[in-house]
Amino acid sequence: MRFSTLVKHPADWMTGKSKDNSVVITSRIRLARNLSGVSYPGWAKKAERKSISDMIFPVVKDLPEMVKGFAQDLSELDSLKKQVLVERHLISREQAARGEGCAAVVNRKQSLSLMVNEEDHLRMQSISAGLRLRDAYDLLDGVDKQLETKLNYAYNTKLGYLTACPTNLGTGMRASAMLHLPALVLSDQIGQVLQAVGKIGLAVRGLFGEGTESLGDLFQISNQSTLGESEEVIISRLERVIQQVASHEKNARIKMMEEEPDLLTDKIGRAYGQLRYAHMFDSKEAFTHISIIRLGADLGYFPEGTMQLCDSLMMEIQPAHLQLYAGKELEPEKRDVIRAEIIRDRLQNTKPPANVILNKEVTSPDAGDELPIEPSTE
Amino acid sequence: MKCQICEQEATVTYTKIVGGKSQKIHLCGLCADDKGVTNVENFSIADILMDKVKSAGAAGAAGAAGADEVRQDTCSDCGFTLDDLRKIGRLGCSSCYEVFGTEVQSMIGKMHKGTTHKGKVPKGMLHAIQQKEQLQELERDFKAAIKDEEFELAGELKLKLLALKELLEQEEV
Ligand SMILES: [Zn+2]
Ligand SMILES: [Zn+2]
Repeated sequence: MRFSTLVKHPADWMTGKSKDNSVVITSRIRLARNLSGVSYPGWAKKAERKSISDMIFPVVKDLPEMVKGFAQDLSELDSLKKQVLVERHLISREQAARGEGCAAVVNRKQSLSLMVNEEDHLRMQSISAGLRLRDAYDLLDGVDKQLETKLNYAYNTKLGYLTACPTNLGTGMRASAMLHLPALVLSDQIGQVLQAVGKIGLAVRGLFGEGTESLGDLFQISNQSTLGESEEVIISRLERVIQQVASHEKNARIKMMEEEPDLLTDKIGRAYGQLRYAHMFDSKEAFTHISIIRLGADLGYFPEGTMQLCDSLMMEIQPAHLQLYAGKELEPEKRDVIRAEIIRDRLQNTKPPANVILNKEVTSPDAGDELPIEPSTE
Repeated sequence: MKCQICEQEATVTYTKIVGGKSQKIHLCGLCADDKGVTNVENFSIADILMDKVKSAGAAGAAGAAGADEVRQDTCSDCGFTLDDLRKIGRLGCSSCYEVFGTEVQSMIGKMHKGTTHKGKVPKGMLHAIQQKEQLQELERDFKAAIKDEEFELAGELKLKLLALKELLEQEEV
């Protein structure tokens, strides 16, 4: 698969219509693995890094999962193309910044990506729609089991997989979910929820920022500790907590519809109007409005498929994707014009928000709520 | 504040949150540009420090040829030092974990829920690892027995050691 083909097609998780991903957009698992007896990528000299890549790259390229996939030596891609892969979550920013001896392999569905010579010799990642950490793990575990017979992993019984940074020791696993939490943000509950999650020892961050600051009300929750617990234990805890956060969000959405339907409808209408007719958008503003449309789509204001449209829009309006679309490098102000152009184009067939009447029987708030949400002390 | 790369006056400080902890780096405008640190999201502080240590190491080695005494706090496999570890917070290669075992132990207590791996074991490695550990244990006991002048025990251990080594060699073929 060529770069152009990869970019033309949405990732599998973006088109997952049957999956409920209205709150938990994606689940991701990342495993870090290294070869024994050679320097870690950050410490290796260029030649050694190249020879390490020569050992790993052919093996991962030949995995049956990677048939007709995208396999690329990253030194052959210009920085814009690398940035596009970063925006698609297929390679990391750190790997994009690194030069020779780095490679990436992505499967056809874009659900699996393997990075050679990132912070570790091998970083593998799987991504799926909705809250499906276990599915994502199983997929990756299958790949890992094939690779462990072919590559000489650095491992010891006490510390597990020996990673470049001690923060990844043990399982080498980072499990995470990306959540869309507009109702918790609008109702000012987000701080308390995130604080509660943090207290359990999980990491939370805004998708494009640190802490509770976020673009598009997108947040990522992940495990911090990788050593001392099994993959299963880590995933279970994470899944439980994410489920609880998601149910808080769903309840907040229903409450908004019940208690302030006019305010909500007005917000959604305004967001729609601006997106359809404005001429310039910086990222922040665009994300803010798209987030509201995505919320509206879940609540029935827009036809089916609008949520998926929002998800791909959020990708398409990022700087590298924009510039790829324009076919050239663009100054920030020029980007804002193109960004608005893309948004208008994608939304041209989306009708104005419908009048939604809440069906009172939809859901009642979950009773068994374990996440200890304390009132904010600020 | 001095630039952490060239030691000129630093003009900018970058902060990045890594694993819940914030890392700071001070840079002068020139070095910031040089390292592509114009976009805060776009760099890794560890990478910048790694590069610095690497080039300093290369220069140092060229300058002080001859005076190459092997320091105790250096990994003989990759040349990484305890100093580097303390500065960067990462390691040079997997052997570093043995060389800097004590230092690493003191680091991981704060990072993780436990200090011993409880997860996946690579297939085929379990057996090999157990045998290797058994071998190390026997060797340790053997040396201790010699030291304590318990020669009868030492003799028994020696036989066990030889048998295990032979077994391992056969399995490797
Ligand atoms: Zn400087
Ligand atoms: Zn080493």
